[in-house]
Amino acid sequence: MPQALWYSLSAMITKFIVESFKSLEKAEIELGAVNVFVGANGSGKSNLLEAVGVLGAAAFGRVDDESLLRRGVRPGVPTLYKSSFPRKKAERVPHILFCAESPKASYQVSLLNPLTDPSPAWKFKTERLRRGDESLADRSPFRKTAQFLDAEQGLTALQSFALPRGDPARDLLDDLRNYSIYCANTPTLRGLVADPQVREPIGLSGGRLPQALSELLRARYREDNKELGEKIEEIDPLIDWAEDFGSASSAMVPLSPAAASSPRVVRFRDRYMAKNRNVLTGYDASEGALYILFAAVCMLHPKSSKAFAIDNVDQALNPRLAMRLATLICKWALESKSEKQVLITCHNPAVLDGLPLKDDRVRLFVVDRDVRGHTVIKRIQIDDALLSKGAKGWTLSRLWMNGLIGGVPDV
Amino acid sequence: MSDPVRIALVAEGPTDKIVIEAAIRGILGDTPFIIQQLQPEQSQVFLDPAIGTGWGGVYRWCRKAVERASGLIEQDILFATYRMLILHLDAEVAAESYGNAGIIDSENDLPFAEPCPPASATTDQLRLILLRWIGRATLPARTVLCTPSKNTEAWVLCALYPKDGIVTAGGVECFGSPENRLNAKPQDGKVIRSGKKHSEAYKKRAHEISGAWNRLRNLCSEAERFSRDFESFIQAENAGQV
Repeated sequence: MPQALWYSLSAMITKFIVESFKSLEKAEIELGAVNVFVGANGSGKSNLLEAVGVLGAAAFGRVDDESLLRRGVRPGVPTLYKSSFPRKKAERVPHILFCAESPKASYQVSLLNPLTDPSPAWKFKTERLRRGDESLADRSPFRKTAQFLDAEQGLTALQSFALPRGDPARDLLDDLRNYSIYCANTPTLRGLVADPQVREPIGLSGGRLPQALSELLRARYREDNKELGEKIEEIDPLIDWAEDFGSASSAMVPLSPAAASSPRVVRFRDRYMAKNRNVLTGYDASEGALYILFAAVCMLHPKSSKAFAIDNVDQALNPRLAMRLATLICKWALESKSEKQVLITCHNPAVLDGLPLKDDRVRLFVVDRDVRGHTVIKRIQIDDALLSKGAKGWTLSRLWMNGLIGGVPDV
Repeated sequence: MSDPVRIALVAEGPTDKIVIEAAIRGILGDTPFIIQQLQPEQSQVFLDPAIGTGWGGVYRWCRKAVERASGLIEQDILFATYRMLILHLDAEVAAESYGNAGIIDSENDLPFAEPCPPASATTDQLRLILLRWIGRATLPARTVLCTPSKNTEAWVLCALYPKDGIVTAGGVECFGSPENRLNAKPQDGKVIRSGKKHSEAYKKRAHEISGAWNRLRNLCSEAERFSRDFESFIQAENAGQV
């Protein structure tokens, strides 16, 4: 295929494979633009998000605590990272394996680290970067050059340096390198504690929300971003008690000095209070509003990553709010010029009712553990059998709560 | 301190709720109340995106409620929390067919056409249809119907733009598309822009609708009918007759 044509193709991650990582003994999933994972606590949802993060660290060139933490992956010693399901000696594999594919490229690595006396960085056992059928980087212990390579430094990261943007292999690697797992928490959103992983536009725990919000609100006035204003207006009904919101200097708003740990704070104007006394900050506001704004920044900020995950996107939200937010996240992702790809976990059944799953780019996965404890990920197919349930008055949330699509604990 | 009046509302859309809430503020004045919009339980994946919610959502809610209450809507569980149910349906629904909302209904009572004026020729018939949806021939206790003509935007037009030609000429209730008039208004304070209703703009101007309510009652017969029915309910309830 001529190179020019490659450049116009989507570089979204369409398939992800993981082996021997935590509870994911062997999993293969086909991803869309919005991928929602539901399942019992401990079923392995977060492990899957982390597996993508480990591959992102490998694409960056180094898999150590620092690069994992940067991506929101909990660093772990090999005894925790490698699956430890009982099995026969011949079936044991010493490495963990990850592979991501886009329509025109693929990247696969296997990583090693001894269970006893592990080193701080994981070693690359194999690496393979392909553009179509063409191999762009290949590491194997059987190659003569293997002994000369630094096992802790990814070969692909070095060899892909010269690939231009728009090359499907480069795009796939960039998506993986920039992938992070966001998991906001209330103290960070309120600005009470620092975000250990702060970055532009927003930290993985929600740090820098006031600045990111301010940038987002300003960006709507840019000539090339006219639709952004309409998308921001879609947030308004979700924070219906607020007349408007934005950010302000912490010195300019009513805030206890003890709570002001950041120079800027999220600012709301309460619809019901007297005009001269209706300003309140993220410190005092409903935490649900902060989680809504956090999700909006992740989805809409011009500098947000193309591919990322939000763990527990529904936390602190009323079910109706969670449902509406789910709808908006899908809408924003599907309308995104940068072809956003988002992986989401949630526990609120109402989220399922907000998903426009008839669009194949929005996918719902149910995560369970089989009798051996292996995480099993199944995509819920929107077929006639499921649609007939809808015709009979069922909702997806009720189907889930009744255990009819799996992904619920036996309690 | 007495509990505020809790009102359950089944309305076609979110901006209808804002307008009806403003209307009730106009009627009740400083008396506190809580209004909650009820929605049919549904999943996006099972909805036809071409159909959406709107009046079809009102229909679906009514049918579900009848099922839930075994035919006696006044015994529905909602009345354990709410003192009153308001069912809203715009008069323009008279021109719709059930198929437009993906509904299969054995009674072929939609669409129908009646001359306007009077608006009541259409709304009277529509109210009977709405009652049929909740399985009744007459209005059940603790239920008030709200049937603006042709739609709630007629009320918004009267409240926010009293000098509009359609308003001053009278007969705003028979004007086909008050939303287009609102869409054509000057940018500042516009509630409909590019054909899209902006909830936040409606909310910002809701107090103007409340303030203009008494004037609006004289301009729109359906606003007057809704006010009268609402006031009658409140009076009856205060007298312990409900």
